[in-house]
Order: sequence, then C-alpha cells, then structure tokens
Amino acid sequence: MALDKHTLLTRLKQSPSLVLIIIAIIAITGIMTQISWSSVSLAPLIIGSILGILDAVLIAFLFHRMSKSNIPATSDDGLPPINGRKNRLTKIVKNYLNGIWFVMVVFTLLLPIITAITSIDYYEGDGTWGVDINPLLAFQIDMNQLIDIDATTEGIRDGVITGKTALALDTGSVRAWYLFMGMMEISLLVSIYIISQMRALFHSLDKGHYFTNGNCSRLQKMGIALLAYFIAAPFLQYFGGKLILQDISVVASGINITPAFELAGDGLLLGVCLLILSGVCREATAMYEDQIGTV
Amino acid sequence: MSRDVKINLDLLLVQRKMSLTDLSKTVGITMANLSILKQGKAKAIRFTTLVALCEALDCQPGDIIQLEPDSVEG
Repeated sequence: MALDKHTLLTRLKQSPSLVLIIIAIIAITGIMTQISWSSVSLAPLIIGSILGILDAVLIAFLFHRMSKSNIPATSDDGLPPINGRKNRLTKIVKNYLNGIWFVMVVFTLLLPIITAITSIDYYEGDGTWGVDINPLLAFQIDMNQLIDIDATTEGIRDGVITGKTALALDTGSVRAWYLFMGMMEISLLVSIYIISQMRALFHSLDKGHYFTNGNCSRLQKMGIALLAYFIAAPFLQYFGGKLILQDISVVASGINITPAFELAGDGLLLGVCLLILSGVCREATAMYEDQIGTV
Repeated sequence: MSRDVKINLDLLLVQRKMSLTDLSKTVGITMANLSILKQGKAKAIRFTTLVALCEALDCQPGDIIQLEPDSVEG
C-alpha cells in the first residue's frame, strides 16, 4: 500500500532526482543549524557554495526532467487509453502547468546569477548597499513599553501584539541576502520538482491514460517531496531566520523580532494524502489491468 | 504455485470446422478479444462470453476451459 516501507525505499531507489532534492534539503538545513550554533564568519562563503552546488544539481535535474521520456506520449504501462469524453479542464490545467513550469525554470536558473550580481556591489560599494528580503519572522510588540512615544491601545486587553509573517526588510547584510536567496532556491527546487511531476501527470491524463503505474508513481513522488519539504521547512525557516537576525537587529524596548518556527500542517496533510492516493491509484490500476484482460 | 488455465478454442474450432471470423460474428465478440482468448493471454472471461461461446460451439464450459495438469518438479 501507499505507506509501505519497502515501496517507499524502492521508489527512492528509482528516483535519483528525488533523492538529490531530499539530500539538498537535509544538507542545507543541517548546515544552517550548525552555522547558527557556531561562529558565523564563514556563512556567506558556505551558503554561496551551497547555492552554486544546488544550481548545478538543479540544472542537471532540469535537463533530466525536460527529456521527452519523462512526458509520456503513450501509457507508461502499455495499457490502452480510456475512451471517454475529453475533459477540457484537464487540457487547460496541462497548459497552465506548462507555462508555470517554464517561468519557474527560467527564474530558478537566474536566481543564483541575480544573487551573485546583486552582491558584487556590496564588495565593491561604499557601504550604502542594500536589498529587500522577506523572511518569515515572529514579532512581538508590547504597547505598554511604548507609552513614552505616545502609543495608545484600545480593545487590546494586555497591550501585546504578536504574530508570524514575512517581514519586509531592506538589509545591508550580504549574508542575510545569501541566506534568504538560499532558502528561496530550495523552495523553488521543490516546487519545480512537484510541478514537473504534475505536468507529466496531466499530459498522461489528457491522453486518456488515467490508471497507469506511472501516474501512481508520480502521486507518490509528489507526496514524498512535499513531506520532506514541509518537515524541513520549519527548521530551515527557523535557523535561516536566526542567522538573518544575527546581522539585522531591531533594538527597541517593546519591539521584539525573533525567528519563527511554524509547522505547515496543511502541507504535511497534503503530502500524506498524496501518498494514500497513490496507493488507491495502484489498486485502481490493477483493477483496470484486470478489466482490460477480461474477455 | 498456481496452475495455468488452458483455452481449447483452437481444437473446438477445428472440430466444428469454423473460422475465428465466423465465431466472432456469431457470438458478437471482436476478433481482437477472441485472439487474446485463443492465445491464452486473457486474464478473465465473463459468464456472458462463456455462454455465447458454448452456444456457438455447442459445447460445455469445461470443453473450452481446462486446468493444466501440475508440472512434475524434481
């Protein structure tokens, strides 16, 4: 079934690109954890190198994904298509995914170059260098301590405002810039992988190949990638945010900005649902194979 | 180990001096499906198909389908 350990291991063995992505996520999360607990002077170099390695892996991965063999022209299993009414929505989604995929590929390939070019000014500049970043951070504003600057509250019982959000910061720290772009690169990497799988899935559906082992594998791969990402994402955001805040500090009594740790329950649920659906798809494929072989 | 099911369609057609095309027209099954059945590639057979074949060939289901004997393992 979907969550069978043997099946998952087999799937991982058959998908080097998925393994590469998971390794990349674990590696960068681990390194960020290490850096945040130790001295931080090497951070830009390490993060820059990781970004470069990630980009090289990504380019190899994209070439692999873009090959025609990954977009099925016919059924993966040699089963005939289901002759039903063509679903126009499937075609629309397929074309939409093609567009999204192309834009994301171009953006992801350009991202490290943009990062590098943008940071050149920092090393050659006059100290006025700055870029906008939007890391997910937690904030706490204690209005009681802001009385001196005529702050007043109404309707807030304890006078404290807290939250977690993507805070817009214009930073002059190149390290913060590298970190933010590194985190963005990982998100894009996972997104492209999932969209590649979805693209192949909808190409297959558009041709009438609904129940194939290939489609079941795609659902399973998407589920594994989503789970891996959404398990790693809170740590990535927390330690990434911690590092960024080592260079950016907001010192004011009453205002406190800290790294945010937020578990994406929806993403994890979606990953598990996809794994279960892939199991259902396998059962359906087996039934379809039986039906095709029935005279 | 599962035993194979043998389809005796070839033999019955020869005995009835009937072609596969004639059988296809009589029972209303496509040639493609009859070929699959004849070659033993079918995974299952519907009761309706079996009844139609039995009527067309004037035989019993056991004449069409036969269980292969166990192979002797040494």
